Amino acid sequence: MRKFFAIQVALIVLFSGLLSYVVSTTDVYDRVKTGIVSVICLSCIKMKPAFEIKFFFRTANLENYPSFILENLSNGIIFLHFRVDSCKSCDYLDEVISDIFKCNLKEVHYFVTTSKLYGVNVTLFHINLDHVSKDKKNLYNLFNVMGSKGGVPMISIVTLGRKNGSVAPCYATLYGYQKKDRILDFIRECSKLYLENFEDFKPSLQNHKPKGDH
Amino acid sequence: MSKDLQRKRLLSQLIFLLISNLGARFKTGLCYPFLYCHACPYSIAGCPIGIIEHAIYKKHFNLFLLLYPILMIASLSMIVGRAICGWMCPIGLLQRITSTERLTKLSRKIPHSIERFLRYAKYINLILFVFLTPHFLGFMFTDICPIGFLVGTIPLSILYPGRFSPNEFFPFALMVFIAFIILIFLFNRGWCKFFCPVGAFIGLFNKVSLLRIEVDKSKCVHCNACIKVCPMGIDVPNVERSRECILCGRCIDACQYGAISFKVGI
Repeated sequence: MRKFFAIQVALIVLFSGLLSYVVSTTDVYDRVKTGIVSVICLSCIKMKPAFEIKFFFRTANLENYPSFILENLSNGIIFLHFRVDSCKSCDYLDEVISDIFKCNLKEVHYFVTTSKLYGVNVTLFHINLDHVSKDKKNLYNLFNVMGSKGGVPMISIVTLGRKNGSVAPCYATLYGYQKKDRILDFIRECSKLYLENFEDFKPSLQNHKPKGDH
Repeated sequence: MSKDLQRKRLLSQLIFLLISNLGARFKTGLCYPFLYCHACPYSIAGCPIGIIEHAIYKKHFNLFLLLYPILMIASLSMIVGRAICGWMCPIGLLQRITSTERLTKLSRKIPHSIERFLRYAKYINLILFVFLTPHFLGFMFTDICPIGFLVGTIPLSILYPGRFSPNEFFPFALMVFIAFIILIFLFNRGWCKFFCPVGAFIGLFNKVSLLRIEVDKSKCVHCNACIKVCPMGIDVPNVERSRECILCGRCIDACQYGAISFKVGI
């Protein structure tokens, strides 16, 4: 009986000791927290995000589009990619975006590059919100259409749309990890809009407070 | 029959249900020691099955991620055994609500040979759908898990209407979910007894856990009152340290001779 009790105690010590070792010496806890618990598990719910791209003309916080956005719009569409440090989904999405834009975003806090996709220049702004200046952080609030229900990773594409007959900047925002195909579909749709409206775009007239929603 | 122990158990189950759903404010990297889905909008920890599947999915292998839920459950199970199922698991609480005295009688009507076979289904479930098919085929238990459907799919569909659309496993998962609902209404603790993969794993530790049910054979008069109330259908006086025992204590309450008690240690 005492032998059995000794075995019981030894097993408890062994399992709890190993558990303490795993938790204290590896990133398992963080990985579970940021990559599993904090991200909606689509397999668990047997669903996929309904891929609906919704374009908005008015910024999420009702401020003007920054001038550099308008300037870059003359050159092509703008792909804004936001992340934070502790975010496994962001790590995964970094790999996808690195692949699309043929760059390396690992450990990079702020990065700008331009690639030609679907006949349009696409300017990537990769922004790690934990490391950039206040004005760059504010970009997140400009395009975070879900407010407190949103999150990171977040992708917004600013392109050109037509409202009441006139061309104006518009954008759509996606949240969470997205597969490469889905992001390319998103870029394709925004590029199409851009090509349809680019000829009538007058950037100097757009630097006023946009009115109306999509 | 003393109701005091069962009231304490109900209180414990309600407390753990509440703790399991504190995730609206903050999320942790902990792992539930029972089957509860991290897709629940309010989940505070990760599902052990989900974490295991993450660790071994499609021929990947992450040893520490695999060990984490296994060691978490093993450490706790070594102390309290399947009391986790009886006192902590929210799905256990759900089955407590769906089960009635009539079900206990119905459960006893299943031929022993069929019931014995069905009890092994949870081990097959654990090995096949939690370890083998995720690793080699990419098909996971999670893809059809009825608990995920119950606490993930349904609440998320209500909270975010139109944001999600069914994936390719949805029809199968819906069928499994309907079967799960029928099961828990038709059989007392039907899910725990026959299909729960986490229960299957925890059950192994009942053989060596510190906490157990002890029958004092000198006091037992073989009235079978304990067998009649056991939700897991265990032959209480004749089976020591059953893998099925969830340590709910209903046999303790039912025994008028004080022959059954909780025992800690050897």
